[in-house]
Amino acid sequence: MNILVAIDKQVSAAVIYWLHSQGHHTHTCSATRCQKLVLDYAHLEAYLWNKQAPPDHWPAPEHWLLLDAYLQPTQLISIIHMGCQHISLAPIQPVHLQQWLAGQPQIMNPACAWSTDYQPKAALEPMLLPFINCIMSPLWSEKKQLATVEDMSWRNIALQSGQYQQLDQTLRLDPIKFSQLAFHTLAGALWLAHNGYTKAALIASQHHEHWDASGYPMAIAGTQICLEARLAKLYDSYVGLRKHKAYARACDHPSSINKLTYGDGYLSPSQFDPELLKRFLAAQKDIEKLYTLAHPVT
Amino acid sequence: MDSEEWTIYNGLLPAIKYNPAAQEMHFNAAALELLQLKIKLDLNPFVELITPSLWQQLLHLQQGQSKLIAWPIAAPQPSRWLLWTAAHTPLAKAPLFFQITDQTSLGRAMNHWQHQAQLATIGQAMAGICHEVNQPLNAMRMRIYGLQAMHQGAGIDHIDEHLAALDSQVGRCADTLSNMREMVGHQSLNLARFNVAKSIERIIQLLKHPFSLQQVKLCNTQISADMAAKFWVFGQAQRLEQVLINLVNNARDALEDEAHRKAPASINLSLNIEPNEGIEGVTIKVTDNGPGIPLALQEKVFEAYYTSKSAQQGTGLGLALCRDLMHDLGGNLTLASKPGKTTFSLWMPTAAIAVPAFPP
Repeated sequence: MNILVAIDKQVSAAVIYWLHSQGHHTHTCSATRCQKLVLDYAHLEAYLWNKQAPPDHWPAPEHWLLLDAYLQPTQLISIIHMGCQHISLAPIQPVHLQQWLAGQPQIMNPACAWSTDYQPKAALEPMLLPFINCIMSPLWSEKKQLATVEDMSWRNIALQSGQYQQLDQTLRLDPIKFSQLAFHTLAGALWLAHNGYTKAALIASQHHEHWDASGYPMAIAGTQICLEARLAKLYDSYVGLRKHKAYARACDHPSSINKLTYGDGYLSPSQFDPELLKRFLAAQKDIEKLYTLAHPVT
Repeated sequence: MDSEEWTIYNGLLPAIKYNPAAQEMHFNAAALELLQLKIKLDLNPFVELITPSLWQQLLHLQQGQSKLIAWPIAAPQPSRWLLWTAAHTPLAKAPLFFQITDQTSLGRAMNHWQHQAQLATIGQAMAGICHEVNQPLNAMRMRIYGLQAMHQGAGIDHIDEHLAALDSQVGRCADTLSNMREMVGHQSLNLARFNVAKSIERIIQLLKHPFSLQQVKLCNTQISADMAAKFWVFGQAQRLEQVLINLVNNARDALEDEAHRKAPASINLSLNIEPNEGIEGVTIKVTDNGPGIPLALQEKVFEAYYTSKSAQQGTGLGLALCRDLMHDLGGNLTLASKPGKTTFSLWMPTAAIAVPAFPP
C-alpha cells in the first residue's frame, strides 16, 4: 500500500521504518495519490473547522491516522469534526495502528443515528422552568421563559443515540473517548438545525462552553456563548452536583453552593456568567426548596 | 530645603534617616519596633542585615515611591511585610528619609498572587512538557514496533543506527524533564548564578510547540557559544523564567487579533550585553509583531489590576508582578511599542560585576 507521511520530522523516521516493516511504501513530500495518510495536528490545523479544503491528493478522512504526542479535548473534537476515524496519542496503542491498516473505524460515527421509527424526545426536567423563573424574573416574560425551556430541553438530544449511551456508561474516559462524548454537543446541534430547531441547535452546541473559555467544543468565552446556553450550564452544574453519580456522591445544597462559589478543582466560579451566578446566589433559598420539591426523599 | 519639602517630611514622620556624607543611620522608636531591632545599628551591620542589593534598591527609590519587603529578610516564612516609602531624591548628597509601615495583609495578598502566578506558569508549561516528552516516546514506540516486525520477518539491518536513534530519544526525554525541574522544581529562595541564555533555550523548547499550534512562531536570535558564556546573572532563574513566560504569553494573546496582522505572527527573544547607569548588565528583549500598545496605555499596563483582556482572560496582575519580580532581581522592565512592533526589555546586572554596597 502507498502511504503518505505528513508528520513531525522527529517522529517520521520511526513511523516510516514501522510502515516499511509492515511491507508498505511511504511518501513524504510527493503529490502522489496514496491510499492512506499518517499526519499530526500541526499538518491538519490549517484545514480544521472548514477553514480550507485539504489538498486534493490526500485520501478521504476515514483513511487518515492522526498521531500526536498530546492534544487538548477541543483539538481532538476539531479532528473528529473533520471526519478522521483514527487517532492515537502517546503512548501509541498497537490496536489503533492495526485498526487503521485494516480499515476498521476506531472513532465511532459521531452523527445522531437512530432508526427511522424512533422519535427523539426533549428532556422532561420539572425543575427547569421554576429555576429559570427564579433567576430571570422579572427580566423575562413567562412566555419567553416557556420558550427557553422548550429550546433548552433538546440540548442533550444526541445522547439518545446508541453510540453515545455506550460511551456515557464508562466510568473514566480516556481523552479520545471523552472527546467523542463531548461531540454530542455538535452532533445534537446538527440534527436540531436540520430539523428546524434553530435556537435549540445553538444551545445544544454551546451548553458545555464556559464563560472563561475552558469549555468545549469550541472553547468560546463570555458573551460569545448565548445567554440560554450560559443559563443551561449553570442549571446543569447545580443539578449535577445535587445528583448521585458513579464517580461522586450527591452534595447537599450548602456544599453545592460552596463549590459553585469557590470552586472544587473541577468546577470554578469563573466558568459561569458572573451576572447569572449573582442572580442564582440571590435566589438560592428558593432554588433549594424547588429542588427538594422536585426530588422528594423516598 | 524649602518649606514645602519640610512639610512632606514632617508629614511622613521619617522612620529612618541616613546621612551619606557622615555615613550615619538614625532610627526612631517606631522603626526599631517594626524592624524588630533590639539595638540601634550602624550603617554597615544594617546593610548586612537587609542585604546590599536590597539597600541599593531602596537608595534608588524616587521620592514617594515604595517597596514592599518581606521581613525578616532571609526567613522562608516571613512574619510581616513592611512598606518602605522614600522621601528623598535618590543618591543626592542630602540626607535620605524612609517611612516604614506594616503592610502585612497586603504582603500576604501579594505573596498569594505570586504563588498563583507561578502555578499558572507551570500550567502554561505543562502542555509543552507533555508534548516534548510524549513525542520521543511515540518515536521510540514506533521504532520498537518496527524492530519487532523486522525481527520476526526479514531481520534487522543496521542495528547500531536503531539503537543510536532510541538512545537519542531517551536523551530528549531526559533533557526535557531536567529542564522542567530547573524551571519549576526549585521553590526555595536560594539565589544563585545562572545563565540567561540557558533560561531562554528552556522557554523556547517548552513553548514553541504549543505556540506553533496557535500559528505563532516563537524564536530566539541565535548567538555564538562565546557570546552565550557572557550572560551570567545572579538571582533566581525560575523568577526570570516566570517573567519571560508571562511576557511571551501576553505577546501571543496580542497576536491573536488577526485583523492587525500583516506578516506571520512571531515573537522573538534576543540577548545583549548593555550598561545601565554605568553598571554592565544583560538585556533580554521580547519583541512581537502585533498591533502594539497605544502610548497612553504604555505605563498603565504595569499597574496592578489593569488589563486590556476580557474579565475571563486576565487578572491584570501579570505585568505588575513581572516588574516587581525584575526589581527583586535587581533589574528593571521597560516597554517600547508602536503598531507592528512591541518590545519588552528586561535588564539585569551581570553576575561578574559586584554590586556596590554603598552609594558613590
